Amino acid sequence: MGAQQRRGGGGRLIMHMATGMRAVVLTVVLAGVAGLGGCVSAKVEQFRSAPRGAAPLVTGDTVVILNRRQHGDRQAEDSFNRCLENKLASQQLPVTPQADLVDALFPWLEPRTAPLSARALPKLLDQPGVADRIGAARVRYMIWIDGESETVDSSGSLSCAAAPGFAGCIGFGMWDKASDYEAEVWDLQSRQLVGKVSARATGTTYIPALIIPIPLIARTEAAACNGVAEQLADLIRPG
Amino acid sequence: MGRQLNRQRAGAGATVVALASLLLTACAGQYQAVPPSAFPPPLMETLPMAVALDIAPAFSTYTHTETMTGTRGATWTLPIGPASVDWVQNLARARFSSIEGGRSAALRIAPTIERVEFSLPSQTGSDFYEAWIKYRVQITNAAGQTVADLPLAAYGKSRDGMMVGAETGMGDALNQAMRDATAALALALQDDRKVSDWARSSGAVAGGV
Repeated sequence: MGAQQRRGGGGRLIMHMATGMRAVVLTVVLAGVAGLGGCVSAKVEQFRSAPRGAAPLVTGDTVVILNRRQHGDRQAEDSFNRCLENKLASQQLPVTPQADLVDALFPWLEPRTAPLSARALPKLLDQPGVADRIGAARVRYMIWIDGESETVDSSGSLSCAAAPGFAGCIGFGMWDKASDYEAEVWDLQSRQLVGKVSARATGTTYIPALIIPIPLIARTEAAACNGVAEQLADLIRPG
Repeated sequence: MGRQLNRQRAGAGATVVALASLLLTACAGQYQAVPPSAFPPPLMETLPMAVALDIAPAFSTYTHTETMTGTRGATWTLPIGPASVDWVQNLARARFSSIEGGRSAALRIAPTIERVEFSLPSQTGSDFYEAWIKYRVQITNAAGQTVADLPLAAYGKSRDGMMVGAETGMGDALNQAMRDATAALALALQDDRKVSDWARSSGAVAGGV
C-alpha cells in the first residue's frame, strides 16, 4: 500500500492559516510497519500559535514530555512517552526525563496541582523554588501529552491445542486499534502556548493461523509517535 | 463389567473434583501490596515554626484487608500505615522548621485514615489498578483547640501491563494516592498567613480540601 493523503471534511485538504496561526494536516498510510505489519492510517495535525522562529530552542535548553494524569479512564502510556523522548533526542533535541522533573517539582506536577492550561503556567512558575528548579534543569519547553491507544473492535476465532508430539493453532483473528494523542507545547520562558499537535492512527491487526499463527500487527502507537515527534520537532527546533 | 465402569467413572469424577479444588485454591490467592515509601522532598518554603506530629498506632500500623467477591475469593492485604507515616513526615519536614516541637509545638498535626477502597483491572474492565484513600488531618494549636479539620480524598492509579504483577501494580497505585494526598495537604498548608493564624487562633475550625 503506498502513501496516500486523506482528504478532510468536504474533500479539501485541511490547511488553515490565520493571524500567526498555522494548521497543517498530514495524512500518511503506512504499510508493512516493522516487516510484517498490518495497515495503519495516521492523521497528524499541527497548530502553531506563535510565529515560526519566535521562540527558538537555544543550545543547552531541554524539553520535558509529561503525560496528563487527570483523567480516571485514560492516560498516555509510558511507552508512548519513551518513544517521543527517543525520537526527539535522535533529532538533537535534548530531553529531561519526565520522572526527574515531576520529582524535582513535587508535589506541583501531581494530577491535583499540575496546570491544565498555559494560562495557569504563571501560577506554577511563581511557586517558591519552582522557577529555580526548572532553570537548573534548563527546561525550556513543557510538552503535555494526553490520549492513549485502545482496541476498539475485535472479531474472528483462533483455537490452539497441544498434545504429545503436536501443537498448533487454526483460525483467524483480527482487531482494530486506535491511537489518539494530543500534545500541547508550552514555552516556559514566555509563559505561553507555542502550539499543539494531534495525531490519530488506526489500524487492524490480523492473525491467520494454520498450525503456526502469523501475526500482522498494526503498530498504531508507533505511527502516532512518529507523527507527533516529527511535528513537535518542527515546532521547537532551534531557529 | 458395569460395576468396574462405574468405579472408573467415580474415580475420574473424584480426580476432576480434586483438580478443580486445586485450581480454585490456587486462584483464590493471597495478595499483599506494599506501597513504596519513597517520596521526593516536597518543594515548599520552610516556615520557622515547630510543630508536633501526633502519629497514633492505629495510623502507623493501618492495614486494609479485603476479600474480593468477583475474583474467586482473592484476599488483598494493603499495609498502608508505614508509607502514610512517611509522606506525612516528609511533607511536615519540608514545610516546618521542626516536627519535634513536643509540648511547646505551635501546632499539633494528627492524621487518620478513614477509608480505603481499590479496584483491579479485571473488575472495572479498564487498564488500571486504582486506589482511593480517605485521610483526615486534624490540626490543633498550643491551647489544644482544633484550628483545622482537613478531609483529604486521595486517588492514585497505575497501568496494568504484561510485565507488571498485580501486587506491584496495586502498590504503585497506593503510592500515587499518597503523592496525591501530599499534594492536597501541601495546598492546605501553602498559605503562610493562614498557617500562622492557626497558631494564634482561638479555635476557629477550617476544613475541606
